[in-house]
Formats: sequence, structure tokens, C-alpha cells
Amino acid sequence: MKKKWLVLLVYLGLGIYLSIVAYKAPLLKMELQQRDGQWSVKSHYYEEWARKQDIEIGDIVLAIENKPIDTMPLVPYDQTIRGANALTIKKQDGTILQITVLHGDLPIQFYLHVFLPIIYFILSLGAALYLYRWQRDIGSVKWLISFILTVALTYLSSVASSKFNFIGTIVNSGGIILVPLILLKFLKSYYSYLHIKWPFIQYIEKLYILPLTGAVLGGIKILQPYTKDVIAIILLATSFVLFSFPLWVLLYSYYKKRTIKLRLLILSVILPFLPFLLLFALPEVLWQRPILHAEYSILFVLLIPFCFMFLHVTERLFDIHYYITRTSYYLMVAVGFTIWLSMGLFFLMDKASIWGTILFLFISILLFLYIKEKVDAKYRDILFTPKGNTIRQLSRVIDQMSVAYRVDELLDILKVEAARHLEIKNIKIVNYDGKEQSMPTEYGMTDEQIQQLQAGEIVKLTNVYGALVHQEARMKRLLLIEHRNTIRLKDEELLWLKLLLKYVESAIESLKKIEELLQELQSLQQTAEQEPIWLKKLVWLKVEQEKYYVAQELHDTVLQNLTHLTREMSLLVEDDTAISIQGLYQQMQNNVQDLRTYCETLKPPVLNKLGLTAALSQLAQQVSSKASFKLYTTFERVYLQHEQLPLVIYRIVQELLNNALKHSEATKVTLSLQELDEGFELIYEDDGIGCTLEHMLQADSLGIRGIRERVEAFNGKCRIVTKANEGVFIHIIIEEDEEDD
Amino acid sequence: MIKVLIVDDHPIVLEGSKRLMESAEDIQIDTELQAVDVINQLSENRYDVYLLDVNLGEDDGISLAQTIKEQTGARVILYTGDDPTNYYSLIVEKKVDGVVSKMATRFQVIQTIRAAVQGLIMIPMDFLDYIDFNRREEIQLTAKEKMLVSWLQEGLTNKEMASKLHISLRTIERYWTQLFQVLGATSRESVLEIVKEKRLLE
Repeated sequence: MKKKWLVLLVYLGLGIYLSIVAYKAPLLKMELQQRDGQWSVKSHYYEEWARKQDIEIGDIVLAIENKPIDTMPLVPYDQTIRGANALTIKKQDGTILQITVLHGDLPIQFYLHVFLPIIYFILSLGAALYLYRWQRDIGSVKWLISFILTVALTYLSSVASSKFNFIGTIVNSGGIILVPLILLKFLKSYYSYLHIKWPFIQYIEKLYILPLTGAVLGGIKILQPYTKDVIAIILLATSFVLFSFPLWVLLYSYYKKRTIKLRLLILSVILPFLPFLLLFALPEVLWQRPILHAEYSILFVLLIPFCFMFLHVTERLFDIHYYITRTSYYLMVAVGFTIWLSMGLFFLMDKASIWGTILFLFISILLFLYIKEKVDAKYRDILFTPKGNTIRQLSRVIDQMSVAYRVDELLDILKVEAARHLEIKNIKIVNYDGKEQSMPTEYGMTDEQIQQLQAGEIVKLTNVYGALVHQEARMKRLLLIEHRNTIRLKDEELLWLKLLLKYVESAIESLKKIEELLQELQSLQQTAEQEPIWLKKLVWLKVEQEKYYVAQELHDTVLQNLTHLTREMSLLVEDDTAISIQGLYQQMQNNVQDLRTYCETLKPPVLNKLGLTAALSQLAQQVSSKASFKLYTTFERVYLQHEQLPLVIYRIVQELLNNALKHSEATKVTLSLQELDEGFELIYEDDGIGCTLEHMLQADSLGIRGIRERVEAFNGKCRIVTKANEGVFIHIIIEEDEEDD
Repeated sequence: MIKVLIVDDHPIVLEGSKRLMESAEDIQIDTELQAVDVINQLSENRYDVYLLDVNLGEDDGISLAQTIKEQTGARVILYTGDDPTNYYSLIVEKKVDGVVSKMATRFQVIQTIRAAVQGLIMIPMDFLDYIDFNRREEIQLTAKEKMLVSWLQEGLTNKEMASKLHISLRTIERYWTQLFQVLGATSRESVLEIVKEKRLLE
């Protein structure tokens, strides 16, 4: 740990030092030639600046940084003024110029050799820290970090090196050799991550001798300036050879195994080299005139580490399968086209006419559209993959889920779809009840963590992403996505999962409700087929009660009389002449009469045989013959759907008339039965003593309660109006629904 | 000689009834326990008078009376343990030729039988109370009955009527049974005849 920080400290110190060197003296690159023991200006690098400063070719340089030029050890070998703050120049007409070199006068120099390297250095540091902070658990990342930092330092040191600064040269010489080696190292560890066989030498570490040698050579170059050219060539050649290694490795393995990832890696290495090759190297060789100076074109090479980083951060590199999304695709296309347009316009600006520019734009746009269409067609599958369209994918999954009608089916779909969308094989749904089924330790999830998990929340644990799918009273269903520190879910994927979990949770809730309702329905069906126990019990109790009443009644009346008769008869058998046979016969007749009356109240004899109207009339006649009141009845013939209703009506009328007989003290009773559209109405009215409603309902003997219960059993209404001395009015309506039997 | 068949499902009562009437020399008595057996021998019609209990176990003395009257010219008298007033309406409707209580004396029973054979109906005095109480006005059909009859005129089947009223076929059959009873009709055709004759739809 300490070592790491020490290295960082040294690195930072070097960076600051080199930045200061880069800033201290502007880079001039003014070539000199020796003539008559004096150094005169051979060519300008910054011509415009030279014109402004009035320095012409052939002017003699007397001193650099106020030191006579003869004291400079490097000048004879280098023949160039590299960096300087002050120059003393003798013009051909003998005037001596004291020139102060300012960054402000050399903006391009400042940007290219001071501002950009420093900014790049800072950016790289930031990128490295970011990677270290967020991605350090992946092995190859530390090599990516090293790569980015080395490139940045090498680039920064190139300025110092240009000025023949000792340390700068050492760092730069070592750096340009170290960079390809670290790239190799990174690729190797990345290959092992991708499970691609490493086709190159196994022990890259052995090559570390090379950058060390390079650094030493760099030192020698400064100390022994005459070795400069040789050493420069050696270093460049070595670097070039080393750089070809990763390129070769990539191309070779891509040739062996064509994966999108490798192609992307290759592109991110080769593409940045292309401007250097096509705009500088090639025109330089062909026409001896580069389209873009090396200083500019090499800038693109610096993009390599950032390309890697971009791929990495967007998780293109570390995702098992890579799909380019539309956004990044459009970004790349736009960047390419913009570069092309900018370059074209840059060159055409002062040379071509306005028509030439328009023609250029026209052709460019035409070509761009054509090429884009071709590329689009080629990458259609990638472009329009579900990955780029999370919402559509989500709705597709929900569609699928809507067919499921059992919880386990639903969970299966969740598992399969999550595996497919997230491209992770190891996805599990675990039931957890906190007691018997404790969590398998392999997931590294503690009970406490599970308890704290909220529904729909996704947490990242040591080995898994965990999410609570659904919670019941005693059980939790957990979704576990294994990441083994190699997979990181993107925000959009997390959102996808969250939404899906939310849907699944509510779907499970609904399914559970449906299941419960179904069960309820089933049990209802069962009870419909077979009465509930309480009803059986009640019926049994009622039957027993009625039996008791019947037995009591028979015992008190008929049995007593029969017993008496039997005793009288036994006397007769013993020839007791005091017994009158006539009397016995009379008693028997009475006996039968009583019993018959009793039977008739139990079972109306006429109702089933002659119908309700006849039974009611007969009942009315019987009551009428006994009663002290005048009875007026209107019994309309009613047609009723329920077969039991005639008995209900008969019983109600029986009860009403009995009450009238026993309690009303009325002089006039009217009773009417009318048919309604559906059902009937029964109206009773008397002019008797009446009573309070409370009394009427409480008094068991009145049987009003029984009437009400019967009416309510058939969904009817029973309205009773009564007051003391104001008679009784009872209105009963039973309306039948459409038949359901 | 008057040939009488007594039908009762209680053997003891049957035996008693037979003994009660045997003293009459002009009456020859047979007995039968089940309605089915009675119906089976109706084609021969060996009896002048049928003395029927109303409750014949599962069978019903009233419908048996109707069958006998339809198929033979014999007289039918109900011999019931119930209150005979219950069945006075049947006399009015000409469904039986007399009602006698099982509590009645030997004389009453024999006289009723003899009267019946001679085309007379012997009735207790309280029959007049019954008539008095049930003094019927002219029969009038209820709204529902008119509707049913008009459907019958239109030639609707029971099934069609049932679906019009949203009730089951069994219920509509029950309705017709009741209406037949009201009108004293025995068939759908006779319903139409009676309605026409009595102008019940007007």
C-alpha cells in the first residue's frame, strides 16, 4: 500500500517538474547552421512569429537565455534552438535584437506543447483515480490505469525531452518503450478475463529490461550529445517494434476468434493511429509535404488510453456480450464526420472559392449519407437490439408474464428474461423463511441484510446482486444475480430490473388474491352441495324441539284421554255395569276429533290436494265459524314460482287468524291476498285492541316473529302498524326474482 | 246387490270398515290396499260404488277418484278420517258423489252408499254453511291467467311461455295445473272451450 502511494508521489513530482519545464521556456525549434564560426538562423518553425519578431533567415544568433551560444554544449550536435525565453540576435545590417520569447506570442506552441500535455496529464490522473475508485476489483483495470498514466507522463515528458531536459529525456526514452509493454500486459490480463488464449510470450516482465535500458540511453543522450541521433533511432525502432506486438496480438486473435469485443479493441488501437499514418506519414513519404503536422496527428494516438477507458466505463469491455447502442453509434459516426468536415473546411478556407466549399460539403454529405446507410444496414441487428430499447424489452417481458396464472410460472419467466436481458447465466430465485431455510453462505448474504431488504430494492453484495421479489408473512422470495466481481449492472439495467420487480410483485399479489378467491369459491361450492355444519345442527335442534312439543301435546291430551278410556274399558271387561258404553263411545269420538284437529294444524290437509285458494277459504270458514268477529277475505289465485310459497302463505294466514281469534278482540278482520307482477302481497287489518310493536315482537305467543322470519327467508318485506286500541295493520310483500332453478 | 270396493292403505281400518258395513244385506264388499291395484281392474268395472280413503300412503284418493270417474260410470265416495268439510268443494265440483267421515255411524255410511247408487248425494247439514260461506260469484280470471290463456290461443308451447316469463318449464306446468283446477278443465283444448263458453277473456 505504502509502495503504491510512494510511486504515485514520485509520479506526481515528475509530472509537476515536467510541467514546469514545459512552461518555463517556449519551444522554438529554430534550426541553425554554422557559418564562419557563427550560428545563423537556417529555418523558422514558427514563421509568422519570426516575421513579427523581425528574425530573418541568416541572422546570427549571439546568445540564448543571455548565455553566449558558444557555451552551449548541445548546439553543435543538435543545431537547433529548442526552447528559450530570450534570444540575442544580430541582424545582417549589424543591429542587435534582444528578443523576449513569450507564450502569448506563440499561441499554437503554447497549446500544443504546454497546455495540452498538462491538461492531458491532469485528465489522465483523474481518469486513473476514477478507475481506481470504481473498478479496482477487476484485475485488468490496474494495467489500464498504468497504461493511461504512463502515456500521460510520456507525452508530458516529450516536451521536456524536446528541450533536452535531462530528466525529461530519461522519462521520455523509458516511457515510449514502457507504453507498448504495459499495453501488452493489459491485453494479456484482459484476454484472461475474456477467456481468450494469450497467443504471445508469457513472461512480458522479462521485457521490462527494455524501458530501463531506454531510460539509461536517454540519459546518455544528454550527457554525450554526439550519441543523440543513434540513440534516438534505437529508441524509436524499439518502440515501434514493441508497439507492433499488441497490434499483432490483437489482429492474430481476432483472426482466430472473431468477437465484437476484439474488433472494438482493434479499432480503438488502430483508429487513433490512422490520422498519423494517413495525414502525416503517407503524404510525407509521397509528396514530402504532410497534410497534418506530426504534432497534431500524434494527438490522436493519445486517444488510445481514453478509448479503452471509454469502452471500459461504458462497460463495453467488461460485459460478456457487447452491443453497441444507438447513442454511442451515432456519437462515433458524428465524430468521424465532424473531423472530416473540419479538416476539409480548414484546408479549403483560404484556398478554394465559396463554390468549391459548397461542392465539398455537398459531396461530403452525400457520401456520408450513403456510407451511413450501408453501415446502418450492416449493423442493423446491433443497432436495434433490445439493449438499446429497454422499455420495449420490458413491455415484451410483461406481455409474456401476463399469460402466467401461477406464481411459479411468473417467477420462471422473471428468471429466464433477466438472464437473457442482463446476459448473466447464474440467476436464482430463492425462498427464504429465516428459520429452516437459511441462506446458502455462498451468496454472502446475512440474515440481517435480508431483513432490511425492501421490496423492489436492488443491493450489491459481495458475490451477488440481491433483490426482494415478494414478501409474505413468513417467506421472502429473493432474486439473486451472481456478479463474481466481474459484472456490473448498468443504471439502465438496474432500472429495467426494478420496474420488472415492481410488476412481478404486484402480479404475484394479484395471483395470490385470485388463488384465494378460487379457494373460497370452491369451498362455497362444496357448502352449496352440502349444507354447512351449523345449519345441520340448527335443523336438527329445531326438529328435536318440534318433536318435543308434539310429544308433549300428545301426552297431555290424547294419551291422557286414551289412558282414561282404557281404564274404563277394563272395568267393562270385568262386567262393571256402572260403566256406560254410550259414554265411552262419546269420549272416543271426542278423542278422535281432538287428535284430528291437532293433526290438521300440523299438516294442512287440503293445501296440497286442492290448492292454496281452497285451503285458505276452508281455513277462513273454520275460523269464521269459531270467531266473534266478522271475517272478510279476498283470496286471489296467485301463481308463484317457489313451490314452498303456498305453504308459507297458508302458515302466515293461519298465524294471523289465530292471533285475531286469541288476542285481537276485534269486531271486524279483513284479509286479502293479491298477486303482483312477481310475487304477491298479503294485507291483514283488524279493528281490535292492538298493542305496541315492541310487545308484539317480543311476545312469542303472537307468532309475529315467526311470520317475519318466514317473510325474510324469501327476501320479502313485512310492515306492521299498530298502536294500543288502534287495531293492527300488517302488510307483507314477497317478490320473486327470476327463477334460478 | 250393491257392489262396493273400499280402498284404504291401513289394513286395520279396512277390516273395521268392512265389518261395519257387512250387516247390510244389500251390500257386497271387497277391499283393496293400493290405488294401483284399483286402477288395474278399472276396465272390468265390477263395482257400483268406490269408497276411497283420501290419504292412500303415497297415492292420493282425490286423483284416484278422478281416474275412476273418467273411466267408469261408478259412484265415488270419499271415506276420510279428516274433517269431511275439507272436501265439500269436491262435491260442488262434481268430482266425488259424497264425503263420509270415518267417525260416521254404520247407518250414515250405508245410507250414503245407498243414496249414491240411486243418484242421490247425502250430505251433512253443515254443507249449507260451506255453500253459504263460499257463495261464489261468477268466475273471473286474474291478469296472469288471462295472459296464459291468450298465449294458449296463440298456440304457444309451454316452453315458449316459460322463456317469456323467465321461469322454468316445471313452474309453467304447475301454473297450468292450477288454472285447470280453477276452470275445472282437463285439457288445453277444454280450457279454450270453457273460456270461450264463459267469455272469460272479455
